[in-house]
Formats: sequence, structure tokens, C-alpha cells
Amino acid sequence: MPRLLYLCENINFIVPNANIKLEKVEVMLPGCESLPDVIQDISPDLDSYYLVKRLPVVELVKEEFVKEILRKGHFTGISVGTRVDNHTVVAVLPSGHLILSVDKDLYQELGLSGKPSKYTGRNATRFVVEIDLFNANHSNGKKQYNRVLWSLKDRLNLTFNFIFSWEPINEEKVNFMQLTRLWDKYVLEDLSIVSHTIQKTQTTVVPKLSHNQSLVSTPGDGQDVSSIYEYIGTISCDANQVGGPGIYSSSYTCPEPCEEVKGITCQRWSGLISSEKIKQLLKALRSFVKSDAFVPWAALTVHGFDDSPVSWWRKEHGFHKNGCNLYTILILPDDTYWLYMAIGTNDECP
Amino acid sequence: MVKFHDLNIARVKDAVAQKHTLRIACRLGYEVVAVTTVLKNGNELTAAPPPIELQLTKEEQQNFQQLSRITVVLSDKTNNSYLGNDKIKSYDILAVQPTTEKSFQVACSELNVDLITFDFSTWLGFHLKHQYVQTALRLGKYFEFTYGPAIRDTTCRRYVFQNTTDFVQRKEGQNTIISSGAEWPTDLRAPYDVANLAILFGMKEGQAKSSLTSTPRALLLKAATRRLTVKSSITIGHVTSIPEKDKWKIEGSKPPSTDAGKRQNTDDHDEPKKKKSKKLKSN
Repeated sequence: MPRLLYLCENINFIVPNANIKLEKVEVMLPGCESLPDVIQDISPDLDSYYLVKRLPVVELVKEEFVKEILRKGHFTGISVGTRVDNHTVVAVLPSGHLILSVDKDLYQELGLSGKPSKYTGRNATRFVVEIDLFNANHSNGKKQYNRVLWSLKDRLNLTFNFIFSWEPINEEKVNFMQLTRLWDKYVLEDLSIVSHTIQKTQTTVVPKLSHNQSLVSTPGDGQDVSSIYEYIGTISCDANQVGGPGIYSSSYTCPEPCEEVKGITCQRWSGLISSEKIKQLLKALRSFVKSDAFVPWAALTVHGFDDSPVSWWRKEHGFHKNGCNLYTILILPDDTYWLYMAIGTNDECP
Repeated sequence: MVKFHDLNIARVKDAVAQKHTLRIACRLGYEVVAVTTVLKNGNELTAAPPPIELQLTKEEQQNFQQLSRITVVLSDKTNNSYLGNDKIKSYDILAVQPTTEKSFQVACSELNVDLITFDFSTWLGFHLKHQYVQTALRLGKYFEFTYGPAIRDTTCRRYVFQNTTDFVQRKEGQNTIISSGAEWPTDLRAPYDVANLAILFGMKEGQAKSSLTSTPRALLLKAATRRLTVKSSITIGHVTSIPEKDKWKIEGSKPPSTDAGKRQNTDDHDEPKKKKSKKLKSN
């Protein structure tokens, strides 16, 4: 049976982000009529990411690329237009791993060793090949390096449209001269992160959260944590036209206990967003919630790509009928957090 | 997982509607489709028509594959001797549609076909005996049913659900593919919707999705062995027909020159194999 798993944890600190490909980020601030300057200054739409068309995968494993680009910054990339349950998906992680999720026919022709996917049963129809580009054996002259180059270039010249972001460690601005020099044969496009705002200036009702609230409660009694998450989802989709009892169109109401706030701002950014940006947003939201008395809590939701081959902690991610791998952090003023994680059918619980 | 297949798109006379149906199939996410010609009378047999030209983008063109399929309607009086001829072999997939119990038995046990399909939009007229189904599975044949009639007509919908749930319960969806049988673009549904529909028919989650992906892929490989190989074991092609990227496969296995080859072969046969002697342990 397909399952959608929700987890909720009450924690006091956040473990640094675990390498998942980040497609969308949402920030929700009840009590604010517009996005505060503290968040505006670090908003992800100031960054950009890049698309390179028809890039051969072999360019991502060459020693020159690994030395000059991968080792000198955080490089995250994923192929676009490819579905993880039908096609071949390529991803590069900041840890220096190249992940190839391939189907059986391609795997048999490719000639690199990989593991069968956990989500295809006894007769494996999908395989995951992982190449550690930071390994000492992955250098010019070594057998492993020559084998990888030969498989990806001479045997099967795989090419993809690839989106990536690169943050060099020691420099303030991204210097693309090195990348354009390496990839001068290919078309590089600059893409900007798209932002979307939902603002409600009228008085709105939101759930009242406290760190004492029990996370284990039965559904339907109004204090259920899943009802709170559902309500936050309706705000995010701009669907919380709260009617109340007696209203014909909708009798859906905010779960109790609830409180009134002056307005809500919900800002969403879509594109390839780095995990460093999420950490900055989290830090800024944490200090903002503590300092502003009118903001009862803040919510930071992060969505991963549906077609990413990996999710949390480099575990395999699949797509059965949905590929959701998202988490929401509800930040409370007393330095506690609620962490919600939504996992799809073909995902391993982190 | 593999690509999504729809191996039964009906051939219609209206070329514009046919192109539109195929284009919609491509946009919905199907990457391998087969256009079906239905044959009721053996005298009307013609060779496979060429693939229909569609105005697709380059990337869509790269991924979209059009195949040809022939469905022969069988009855007790049908003469099936033409099923092995070259015109039939020009089609990628050979399917039969039995209409009586005897033709079903013949299709399962004797005929060299890839696919056995049924018209579930009405009462079949005969029972699907378990032993014939097991014979067909043992011989590597596949079964198919279409969901198109369920979309077109409410009466047909009842029959389709009744017949498919009965069929799936007996066989549990083994070696079964689902296809649209689409005559119009409105008869097509997206692959994930069809997978959900298969669950309503009684299939399990994994089988529902594999009836659109891995099972049709296995069927196409089986059809290729029927057409292109001798006794499903060997196929012969000229070296010049190998694509450039595959030439490394033959470079390492060049046959030696005739004299040296013969000498090498005779040497292998002349020398008797030395028997390994086992030393007995002394007590």
C-alpha cells in the first residue's frame, strides 16, 4: 500500500542540513503584514542558479572539474526533465558524490558497479551507481578513473540538461571564469529563483502553539499535531477561507486552541536553493521570533525535488505515485522547534 | 522502473485524429506506443504501415517510440496458418483476440503469439479456464485488457469492471498489461491515473504500475525474439549494421585466421585431458 508518513519531533536544536536537493522554500510569519527586512536581506532570490544544456555526464567526473570546482566550494547539481521512476537521473552532491539512478537496460550497458534500488522488488529494474569523486583512486592514471571515463564517454555518451549552484568557499562572489573555461562548448544560462508572496492584512486566526503541547494525541480532538500541520498547509496554499459552522461553502475552522493575529505573510521561493541559505534563514527566523512579540511562531518549509535520486542523509529516494520529501520547522520563541517531515512511498524514514 | 507503455492505440481512418491521439499520448507521458490494426479476415492482411509522422519537439522525438501491432480476431472457423508469414512478421507485436473457448485454448497452447487480448466491454461468452491460462503463462505469453471502453460508455464500464476484477482475482495480475484501446484523444488517461485504475480492478500497487512499465517491456523483448531470432536463441546480423558506439563489443573477439584457428582447434581436441589423481591419505 502506498504510504505517506508524517513525523513530528520536538527538539531544541537543529542538526545541520543533510544534503537533500532543495526545490522550494517557504517562510510563514503570522503577525507580520509583510516580510521583515531581516529576512528580505538574506532572501534566496538574491542568488541565482544555472542551467547547462546537453552536458555530457563525463564532464562531471573529469579530474580538472573535481580539482577546480568541486573541491573549491559547495557544488550541487541535478538533471532536469528526467523522472526518477522512468529515466536516468544524475545528481552531484557537495560531498563529492556523483549519483546515477539508471534503469536496468542502461545499467547493463554502462559497465559501472552499483546497487539495485530498494523499491523495485526481487526483479530489480532500477539501479543506483555512486561514484566518490573525492576518492584518492579517482585521479588521472588510475584504473578506476579510466574505467569511469570510458563508461560514461566512449561506451555510452550520456548527456543531460543540468541545473547547478556553486558557492566557492574562499571567495565572496562566484567567479565563473573557471567554469565557462571548462564548459565553453556548452550553453550556460543564468536562472533566477522565483518568489511568490501571499499576504493577508486582515485579522486572521492561527493555531496557538506551546512547547508543553503533547505531540501524541488522537486525531479529531482538535489539538492533534497533524491538524495543526494541515491548517498551516491551507494557509500556504492560500485556501484557508475559514468559514465556520453555518457557512455553506466551508465549515473548516482553525484547530483549537487558536489566537488572532493582525495578518500573515507567506513567502515562497522556487528554484535550486542551497542548504547554506536554509541555515541562514533559520538563524534569522529564530532571532526574529524571539525579538518580535507580535509573532507567535514562524514556519520554515523546505521541499526537495520530487525526482531527486537521494533525500535525507544520502538515502535513496524514489517516486511511486508521489515523490514528496519535505520538512517543516515550526520555530517557537522559547528556542524550541517542532519538526514535521513528510515522506513518500519510496523513501526511507530518516 | 522503465518507460510508460501504451501498446494499443487503435488505427483510425481519420489521419488528423490519429496524429492528435498520438501527440496527446506523448504529452501525457507515454514513451512507447503501438498503433493497432485489427484483422478479422485473413484475406485482408497487409504489411505493417510505417510510423506516423508527428510534429514533436526534438526531445520528445528522441524519447517517443512508435510501434506497429496487429490484433487477429479468432473464432472457431478461423484458419490460422498465415500467422507465421512475412507480413505478420513485419508488425512489432502479434496479438490475438479469442472469441470462443476453443479459440482461447488454441491461442494459449498452440499459436506462437505474443499477446492474448480480450474485449471486456461485453460479456465474453466463455469462461477463462485456469489450466489454459497456466499453459499460456508457462509458454511466456501475456494477457491484456483495455480501459478505453470503460471511458466511452457507462454500460461497457460495468462489464469492464466485472470482467477485469474477475480476471485479475484469478491470476493476480501476473503477465498482464493494461492499455487504452483509444480511438480518440479523450479515451487516453495519464499513466499514474491508469495505475490507480488498475488498483480498482483488483491489482496490487506494484503490479498496477508494472503493468504499464516492466511487463510491456518484457512483452516487447519476447516479441523481438519471436520475430528476429531462430528458436529464440540466436540472431545473425552483418558487422556493418552494428552502431559505432557498440563496435568495441566485436573488436575484442575477432576470430583468428583460418589456419591458425584450425590448428588451435585441433590442438585442443588432440591432447587428452590429464586426469587429476587424488592422493590417498595414508593411515
